[in-house]
Amino acid sequence: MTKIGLEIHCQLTNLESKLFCSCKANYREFEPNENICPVCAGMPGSLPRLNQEAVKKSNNDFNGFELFNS
Amino acid sequence: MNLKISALEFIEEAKNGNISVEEFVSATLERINSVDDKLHAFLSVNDNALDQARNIDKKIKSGEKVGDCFGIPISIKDNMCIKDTKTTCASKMLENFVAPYDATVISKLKKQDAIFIGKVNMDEFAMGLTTEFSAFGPSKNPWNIEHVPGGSSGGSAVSVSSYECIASLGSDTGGSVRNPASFCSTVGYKPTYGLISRYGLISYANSIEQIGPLTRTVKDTAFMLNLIAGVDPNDNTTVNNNNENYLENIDSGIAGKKIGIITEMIGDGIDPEVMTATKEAISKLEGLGAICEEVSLEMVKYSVAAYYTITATEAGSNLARYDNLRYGYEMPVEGYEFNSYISKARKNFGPEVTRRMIIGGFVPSAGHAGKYFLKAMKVKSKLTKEINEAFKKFDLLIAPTVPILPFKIGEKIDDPVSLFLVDINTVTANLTGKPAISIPFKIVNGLPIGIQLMANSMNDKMLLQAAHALEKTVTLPEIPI
Repeated sequence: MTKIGLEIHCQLTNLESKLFCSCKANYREFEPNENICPVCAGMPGSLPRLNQEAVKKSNNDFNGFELFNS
Repeated sequence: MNLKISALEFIEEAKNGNISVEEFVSATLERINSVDDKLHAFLSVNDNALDQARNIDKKIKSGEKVGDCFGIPISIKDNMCIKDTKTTCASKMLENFVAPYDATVISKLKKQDAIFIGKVNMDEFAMGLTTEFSAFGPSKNPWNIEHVPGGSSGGSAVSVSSYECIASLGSDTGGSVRNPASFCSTVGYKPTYGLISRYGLISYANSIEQIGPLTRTVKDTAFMLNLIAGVDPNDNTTVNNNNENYLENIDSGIAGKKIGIITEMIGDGIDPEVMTATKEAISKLEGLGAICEEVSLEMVKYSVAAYYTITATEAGSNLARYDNLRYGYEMPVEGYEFNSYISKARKNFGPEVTRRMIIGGFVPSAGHAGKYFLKAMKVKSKLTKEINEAFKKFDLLIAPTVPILPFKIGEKIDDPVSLFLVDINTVTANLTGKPAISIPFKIVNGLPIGIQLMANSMNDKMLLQAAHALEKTVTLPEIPI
């Protein structure tokens, strides 16, 4: 059996928070550098925290595919 | 003021009002002032320590609720972020980096009223095992200042053993807590992978490193673990320990426990004095009712090579962010193109970090990964299989923490390969995620020897009980400084 890996990029526009931290994803109603924390600023020592909602949404939308298991 | 007390003794005295926290902290600062010129454990000292101590005294007197630490002075390895405090990783690249947030371990200890007395020296970005690779000069071994204190958490071990603080937090990627603990005669603990949050610890090799305490006694380590272990939503690799109390039943002893002596860790290259000490430790454990026999872990002979391949790969990736654009040191941009600026700025990394980043770029690259990185990962999984097999038969494994005695400063710095081999007894616990502890055991010719015990994952409590049993059989001479 041949296995083919696909990398699919799509924008999730209705998430509350950013993909790797809990800062608000809404960038339209805020000043620059307002919704920012050590994680999204890539500060030394900070670790990414994957947005569970984003994983759920991608799993729903791509039913039948194997995506990252969270 | 007697500074030579353990954390638990200090807490008892402070709680009952027998000592004032302010006086103790002030005596600790004086001690730092008087010995640290010689030892160079500290990179920075907390200016607010006395104010914090006064506040805790006030709370104790007025009967307000005080955190479990009661103001114990703790030193912190300079790769853990404390808000508004310089966190340099002993590197020129982060010389002026002031952390804008607290690491999880720091916020947990702050809540319990610990006092962070200062940030301590280390090998640059935790790469090394002598502190000679610190960009700000080496620390010295307080037992004999011509010798290395071990590393990379050398400043942590020096500060605890020379009474410049009561306890310290270090980080252990391949022995970086246990190695200096052994060389300076303190307890050094590397917990099960995931037991302590790494959020706020500046990453070197995420898949194998852990924060661990260095303390005077095993009980103090258990106490610290109670405060800092457990799940952290900011670190996805943390594991649930069900709020285990590691101090409870620490006196359970070791009778009936089966202990495996790892053949590969007492073989070629071991110092005869270290061998003698190891045999003494084994007979003491047998005297306490343990059953000891040899066990072979064949993959140990490839462990150091695998360790350096994997850590260099992760280091290469983790250190890519130090381009001097968002944080770093003063270097004007005029006259440079974008890429030439970055490559010039990155010349400020020291020799060991540079060496590991170059290796880390090469070993996982296309065309070479199969020969190096994938082989290393295979060693890692085979070693894990072997050690899991061993833990079906044994409760604990024993070996000397380091097969040789602390050597002189400068003796091995030009010979990276012989320096790498000093790690042979410690990297197995990191590659397999198992908990391991170094216990001060003996002083030979004025130089310390530590004994290492290892247990299966999540058996941290049993490991501490065994370590406590062994510790109780040991009496050591006073440190000469």
